[in-house]
Amino acid sequence: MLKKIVLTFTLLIPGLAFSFDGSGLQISLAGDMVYDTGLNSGSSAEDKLAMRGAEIMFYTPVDHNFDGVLSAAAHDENGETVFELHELYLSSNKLIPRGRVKAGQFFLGVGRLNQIHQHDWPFIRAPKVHETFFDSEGVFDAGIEFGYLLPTDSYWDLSFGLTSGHRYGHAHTAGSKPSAPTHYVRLETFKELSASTDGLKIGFNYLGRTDEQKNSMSLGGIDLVAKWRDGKRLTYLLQSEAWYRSVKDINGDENQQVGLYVFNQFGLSDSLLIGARLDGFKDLSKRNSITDKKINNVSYAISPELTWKSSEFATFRAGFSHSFTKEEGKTIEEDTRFELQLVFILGAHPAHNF
Amino acid sequence: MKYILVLILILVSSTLHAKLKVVTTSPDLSWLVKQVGGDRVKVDSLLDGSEDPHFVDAMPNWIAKASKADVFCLVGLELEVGWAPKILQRSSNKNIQVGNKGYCNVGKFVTALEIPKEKIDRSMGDVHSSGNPHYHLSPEQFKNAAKGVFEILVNNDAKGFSVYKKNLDATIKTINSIKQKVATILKSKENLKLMSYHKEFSYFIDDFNLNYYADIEEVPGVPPSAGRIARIALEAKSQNVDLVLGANSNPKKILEKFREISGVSYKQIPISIRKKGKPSNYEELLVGVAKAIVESK
Repeated sequence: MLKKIVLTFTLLIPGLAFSFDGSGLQISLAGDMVYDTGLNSGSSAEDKLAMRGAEIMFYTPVDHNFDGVLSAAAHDENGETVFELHELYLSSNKLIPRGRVKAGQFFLGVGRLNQIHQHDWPFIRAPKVHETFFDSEGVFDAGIEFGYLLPTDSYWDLSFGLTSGHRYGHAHTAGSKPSAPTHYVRLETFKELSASTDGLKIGFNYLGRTDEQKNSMSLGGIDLVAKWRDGKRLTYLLQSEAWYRSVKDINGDENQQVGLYVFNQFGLSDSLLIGARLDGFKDLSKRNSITDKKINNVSYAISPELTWKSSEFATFRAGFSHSFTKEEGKTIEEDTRFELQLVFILGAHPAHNF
Repeated sequence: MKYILVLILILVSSTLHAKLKVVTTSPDLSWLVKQVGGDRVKVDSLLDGSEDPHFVDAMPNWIAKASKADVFCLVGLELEVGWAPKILQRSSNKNIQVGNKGYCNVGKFVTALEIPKEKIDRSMGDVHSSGNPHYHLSPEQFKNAAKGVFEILVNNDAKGFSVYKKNLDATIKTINSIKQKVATILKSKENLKLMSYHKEFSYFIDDFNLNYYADIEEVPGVPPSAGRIARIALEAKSQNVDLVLGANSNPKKILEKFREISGVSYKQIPISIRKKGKPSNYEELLVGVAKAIVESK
């Protein structure tokens, strides 16, 4: 019996290798571990090392016109490992001159963080504005996205997407048919700065969706990223997003929230980087349930961190995070924590966007 | 009516003589394409020659340039593997995608040095499985690259065959004469023992048969540890090394530390033609390297 199994594998493996060689299939695996511990009594840190994400990604040209991507991730959700499909799409950049199209399930092409896999973020956790509007990792959905590079001398890229909108954010349910599906548009541009590898990219975004209960959500935001590089060293990174969200219910009542984050990072050497992120968030519609008076509220966070990159494929990060929420001048929530992160990549890794 | 005809003639003639738009990753390739393409091509390079081409991002303005190109030439041998695929993908320019006639992987036409014989993995650092990609510092390999560029240009603009052939012959003569000039400079001080920080000078050393001792890097693309610097510096001292060559993008601190321990001087020099400034052509580039070597002591 054992001989038969060995023989079968011996015959299968070269066949498998041959099929990989001929197809150009690339496989990438990413491991993302986070340890956090609370430093004050109000902290919601879990005081444990969590396997936050284990992502596997396959990508390859499907034929002369199309490329295919499949990515799935296992997450630690309250101690339980949940395996979910992140992306499964067919795309092409060869059918329409200057145009890109993709169909399937993917992270929606809006903002900065939502378009980058979590293990590639330059900080450990999502800023409050991202977590509130796009969930702790990002929003993915099934549909179609089209992008077009405008025929101008400078870089202007316009993209829009339409996805089912049965659910929005992180959910393990089928959701329900929305009144208006998720739709979004993004315009991004780029300005070269002092040297050829220094630059500033700015994106303007709109996203809308009306759910089954006729709650109509509109999101508008600006994201920017600027990088200065000296040889291998990323000398300075500035990354920021500012978002406004409005949700109107069937009666016309409107909830508005606004938030932003600003992240600065300095390269001390090729492999050592120091950075800090400032988050701000405000609920513009929060009212006292008894008096119906508006409540003056604001949430802030500051998160300094130190990153050591052994290489492009292994990153160690240590950081503090201090966040608090104030209402009418009184602090109602405070969370101070220490965090460690370890990210590693096995196998291939696709080339990065700016 | 007469004016309309003249206008139509101007428009038609401008279309007939539309130059082939070539985008290259490096200014060295840009120089080569200009030599072979002559007036039939309009060339622009993405890099300006000051960067470390291993470690750059896929700059969006480069995507805009690539989107309008008829031909996209890259050094290849995995030098631009971290960013060029993204430029090609986001350009949505079918003509320049891998396998199409506007895709010009110049590395395919050269005989690469340092092709790993054993199975490679990431513990070995930034090892290029197809060999060392810094072939532009070899006049012999750059002539092979010129022949490759000629082939690609003819594939994209067959009408220009005779012009390209004439230019190719002239380019090979130019490179031969540059090689001769560099060899003469190097002859003025023979048998110098050289080292380099990274393997950027392998082809130059090989072409001109120079005496090479070792790299400062232990693992390619990874800054050497303090222990490695000390060990290799002491070895260099005992071996009477004359000079360490470094590219401008190599870490000065490490080279300085090496000099302190070994007493061997180093020179950081441009290893690429600059889009603006010096070296502005292939002759200035190679003569610059040769002069840096002979003027070492």
